[in-house]
Amino acid sequence: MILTITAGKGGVGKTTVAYNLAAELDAVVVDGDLGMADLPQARGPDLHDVLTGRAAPVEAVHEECPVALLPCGRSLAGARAADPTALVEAVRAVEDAYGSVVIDSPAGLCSDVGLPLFAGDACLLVVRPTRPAIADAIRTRELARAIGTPLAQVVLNRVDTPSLDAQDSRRDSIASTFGAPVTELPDSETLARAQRAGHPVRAVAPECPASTQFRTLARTVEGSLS
Amino acid sequence: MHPSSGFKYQDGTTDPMAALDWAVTQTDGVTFVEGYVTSDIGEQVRIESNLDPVWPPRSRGVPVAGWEGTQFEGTVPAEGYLVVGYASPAGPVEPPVELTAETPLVEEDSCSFEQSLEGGDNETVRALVRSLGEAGPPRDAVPLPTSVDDSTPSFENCEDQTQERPQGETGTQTGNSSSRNQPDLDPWFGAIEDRIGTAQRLSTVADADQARAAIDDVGGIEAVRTLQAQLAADRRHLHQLTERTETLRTDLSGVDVPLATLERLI
Repeated sequence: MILTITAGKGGVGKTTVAYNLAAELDAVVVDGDLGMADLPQARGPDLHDVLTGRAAPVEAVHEECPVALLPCGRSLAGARAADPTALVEAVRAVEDAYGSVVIDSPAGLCSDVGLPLFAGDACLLVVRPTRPAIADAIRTRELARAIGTPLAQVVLNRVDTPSLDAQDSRRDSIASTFGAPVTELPDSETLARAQRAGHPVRAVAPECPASTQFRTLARTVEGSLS
Repeated sequence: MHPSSGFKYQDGTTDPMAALDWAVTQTDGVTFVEGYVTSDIGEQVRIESNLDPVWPPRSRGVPVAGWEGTQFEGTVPAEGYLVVGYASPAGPVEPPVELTAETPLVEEDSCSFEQSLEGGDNETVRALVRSLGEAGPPRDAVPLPTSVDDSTPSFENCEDQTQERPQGETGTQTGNSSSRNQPDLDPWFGAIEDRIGTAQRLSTVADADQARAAIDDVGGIEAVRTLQAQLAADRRHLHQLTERTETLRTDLSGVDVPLATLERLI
């Protein structure tokens, strides 16, 4: 299974969702967006090395990290040398070896989003309940539709907790706009602390609400893809 | 420009629906071909290059749509024209291109990536990059390496950063240049391999006729002399590269940053 996590714009918490979902799905997370660049990791090949053909995709998977990670390339030179069209085959090779892949794709509409979307069996859109985030996400949703990648879930991220009525109507409105079920993830200091430390929240606080929510989200996504 | 006749049927008759004019030049061992197709009616045409291999023009690093190996398929609008340009390391031949098929258009042809989804994964990923745009940093964001000595080849001359051969100067785009401080050696190695192949063909001729044909393929006896000089330069450059690589490998194996210690100190 290859699941692509994307967003219409940055800053909505896409990488945190990708990282924690990969932990729950026992998947390799492919960092296509520099989002996990500051996670501690051993030296070794990265995505640029894979996309320039210097390393096989499986060689670039770091299993010693809390979540198995294929790290992003970090140099401008590497970014220019990389062949973006090689991503699709590379991700499929990782899936063949490990079973499940979560791609942390950049936000937006360029080919660095289009190619991860094409590689995915389904995608998940992270949005925040703000007009710019949703407007941009709608464009990305149209891109996914044009490429033919189904939208499995919309994650409405870092929500406050106003009255339940308001939540329901907002969730329904977003679900009908995007044509996909919506999962709300409340803001969580535990989750933010875990992410800053480079851990999935289930490793530091397995019973906290955020861990439970990611567990549920993962099972829902698995169910919709099977 | 050399006009060639219109499409030839198998029985030798010609139908002047589409006409192909061409021009061919050679610079620094690279042959550049321009084809100019005109037609009274809107048609889909196929053009075959008699030069092999073809270095097609590239858009955002991938060959522009229509090129497959030595063949190009494109659309000539009614009473309009289609320009086809490409380069090749092979020597010029005449004619360099031929019109090998034409089909009158029935309906509007478009090349969105939605339609390329039926063409298979490779075509779709290329179409995605073409239509959505490449996301890499611009060429001038990547710093130039400091040059070491004048006799080593300059990596600024390696034009292509993908693993394929350098593309020609014609067409809409020449593609991406190599990154400056992480030079892509594949175009340079590819050019050397091509010269080795040419030298092998020249050295395995069995008789005078074959020799003359082989010399013509390269572009004349002067081109053969140039090839010989270039091969000598290739030997020198590869030897220098090998020595430098060994020195760097030795230096690298003896160095290790004490990261854990340094992290504790800050």
